[in-house]
Amino acid sequence: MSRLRRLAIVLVAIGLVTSAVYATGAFSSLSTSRDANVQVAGDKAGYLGLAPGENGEYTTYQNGKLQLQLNGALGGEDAPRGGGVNREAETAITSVFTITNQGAQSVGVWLADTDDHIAFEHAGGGSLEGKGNAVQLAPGDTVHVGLTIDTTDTGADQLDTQLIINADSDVEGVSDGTEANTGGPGDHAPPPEEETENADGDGEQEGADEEQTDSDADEEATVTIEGITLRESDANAFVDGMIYGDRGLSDGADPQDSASSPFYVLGQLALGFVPGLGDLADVRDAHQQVKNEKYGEAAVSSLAALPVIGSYFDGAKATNFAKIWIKRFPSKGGDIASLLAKHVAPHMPEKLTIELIDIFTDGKASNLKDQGKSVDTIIERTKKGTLDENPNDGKRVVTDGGRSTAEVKQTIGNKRYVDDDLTDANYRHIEEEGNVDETMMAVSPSQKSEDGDNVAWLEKGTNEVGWEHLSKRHIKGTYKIDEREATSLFPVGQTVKGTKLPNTLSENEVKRMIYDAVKKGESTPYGEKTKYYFEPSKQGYSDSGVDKMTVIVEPNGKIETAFPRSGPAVKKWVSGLNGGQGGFVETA
Amino acid sequence: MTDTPPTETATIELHYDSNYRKRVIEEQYLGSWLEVTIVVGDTQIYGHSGYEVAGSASGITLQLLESVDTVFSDKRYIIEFESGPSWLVVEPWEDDLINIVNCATLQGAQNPEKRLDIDTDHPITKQGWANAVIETARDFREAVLDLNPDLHNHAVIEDIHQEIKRAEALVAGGFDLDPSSDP
Repeated sequence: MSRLRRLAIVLVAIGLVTSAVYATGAFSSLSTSRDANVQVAGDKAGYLGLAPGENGEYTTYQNGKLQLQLNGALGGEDAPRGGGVNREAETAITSVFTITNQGAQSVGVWLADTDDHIAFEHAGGGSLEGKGNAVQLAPGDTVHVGLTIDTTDTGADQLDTQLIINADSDVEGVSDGTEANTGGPGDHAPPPEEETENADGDGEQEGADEEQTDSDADEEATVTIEGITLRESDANAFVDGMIYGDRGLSDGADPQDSASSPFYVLGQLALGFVPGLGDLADVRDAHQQVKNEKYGEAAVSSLAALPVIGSYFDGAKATNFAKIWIKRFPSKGGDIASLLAKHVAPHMPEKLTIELIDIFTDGKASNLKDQGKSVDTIIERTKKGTLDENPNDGKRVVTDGGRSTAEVKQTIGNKRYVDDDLTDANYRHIEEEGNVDETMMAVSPSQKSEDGDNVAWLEKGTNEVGWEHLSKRHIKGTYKIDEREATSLFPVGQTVKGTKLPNTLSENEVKRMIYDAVKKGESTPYGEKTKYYFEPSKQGYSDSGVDKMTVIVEPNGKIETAFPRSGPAVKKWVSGLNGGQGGFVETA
Repeated sequence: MTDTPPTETATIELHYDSNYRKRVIEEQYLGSWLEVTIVVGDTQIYGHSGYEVAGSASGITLQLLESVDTVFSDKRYIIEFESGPSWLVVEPWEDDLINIVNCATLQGAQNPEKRLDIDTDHPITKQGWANAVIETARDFREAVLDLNPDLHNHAVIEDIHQEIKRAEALVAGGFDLDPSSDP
């Protein structure tokens, strides 16, 4: 009866490793593609695109990453039910997912996984495992990946394996046998140079040396990793920090020259706290595979010994690492504090941020906190390197952020949408609570609070708040349009989902409407927030095609979002229309 | 108009993610967006089919509590979820019933004749809706205070506490609900 039992198979965390990332500390592929930016995005939008294949019911997206599950937990009506594959059998499934080269150059692509019971093949039937079995993907090319699960010699109830997808422009793969180009499975040889480097165990260091030379030759090259844009040489230190951590310090197991760089520390800290960067945990695996000749027991052992990202980067570990590092490089505390404030603080618990800034600046953050400064102010001053400035020097009227009121007014006042009614106190409030440099609008609102600061302002913001949010959600339609049930769009003539929308407004007019909505609109409390309702077509924007809109302001005055509610030119994308394909509806 | 038989039960869930918990704990801020799912009877009204619906936690909770007033006033009440936006409509149905509707458009929210095919709805007893709302608000208040006991005297928490008591009193006057538990 044992054959009736099913074996649950979960292939988790398909890691996406491009050579541009995993060539440790080197970005070797960038040496041939100097202008390339390395973006580790969700699997749909990454450097390599991963997508469900013809038998894609075994796949799902979790946190932007493609996952494979053969345990009956996924899919629609056609999905496997009852839990997993047969025991004591070989189960083959073709085209479970696809890999598409979304980059600008050809790459060799191959896979590695940690379980011998699962094998991956391309559509031609040949193995995809190991560099020697790499298939060549030109830009835009796709390979269909199938798998075979062999349960004839395992008694386990579940197999969990991590799959690493490698892509390297220096590896010349072969055709998968489904395209016109010649060469079939097995009709290829591994690139000898790569194997030699790996075999002698110092290949990546040589790569690093080469990269340094390349970097010196082109100081303008930059690399963007999860929104953090760095010069290439800094990025190398950043990635080294991610990979080696305290092991890379001078007395660690793998001393790195780059460990003295503040970017090394930034990489180590960012890995634990910047959303999405955790995907780059695969960098560690790839590095270890390279260093340990990839396929041997040593590699498996090293992989097993690697810390789990989620537990490794708790606050205690982060502060401990910071203390160790600053003892060795005390003169660089200000630099790393500033980098931390800019790149990691937005994603880190405030308490930990203050602790780390304290470590790097000899307690200056806590000193300011004791003086009553807000955490936001401390972080802003850390970014600017003005933690030492005395805001009460008596020589000038200075805001808590270290700028004079005149400077703040000049910075904000140069923007197009700034209310003449604003007072000095309003400007100081923005400096205290917001980001002056990224403020693009400031207005005295219709809703006056008795003890409030009576100013609302719009910053560039992020995906979740401010102009970037509302622009991506309600103008460009590029953020969460498929995940959210509905998305209304301001009519600025943009094309969304292949549909050209009405062109009755410019983006600047949208900003002006937001300004007027807060200035003239009807306000109502909404928890701690305030909603402003505005009717553009009746209040100065007769040709806008927008009848109603809403602006939401956070309790401190920062504008959170704005969206059109209805109007003859306002189209709304509704994800559930057309059987889940989505579609536009009219709103008036 | 729906032909769905009315129900007596609804479930409203606020899904507290890590960002929400973080801001409650560290910033005493209750207004972050979080995902909401609403099931009336066996009908998935909100947050179904894998699509997210999100709103400001404290704002939505207060608006849900206000919707209980509508149960007794026989007026249509519209809650705007800002992620979209989309609109949850609580509207009169029959004597002891109200209809709960998810509307993709504002005109559909305001006028039943302009609703879309995908605008899901389900009638429910007034008592059933009031019970679900009050339970949700109690859970929200408790969840927030569990995360950060310092928020006990927070203005919005006080508002929610008062609104819960008011809703309970309204319901106790109109239905045979048990008003004994004090949130």
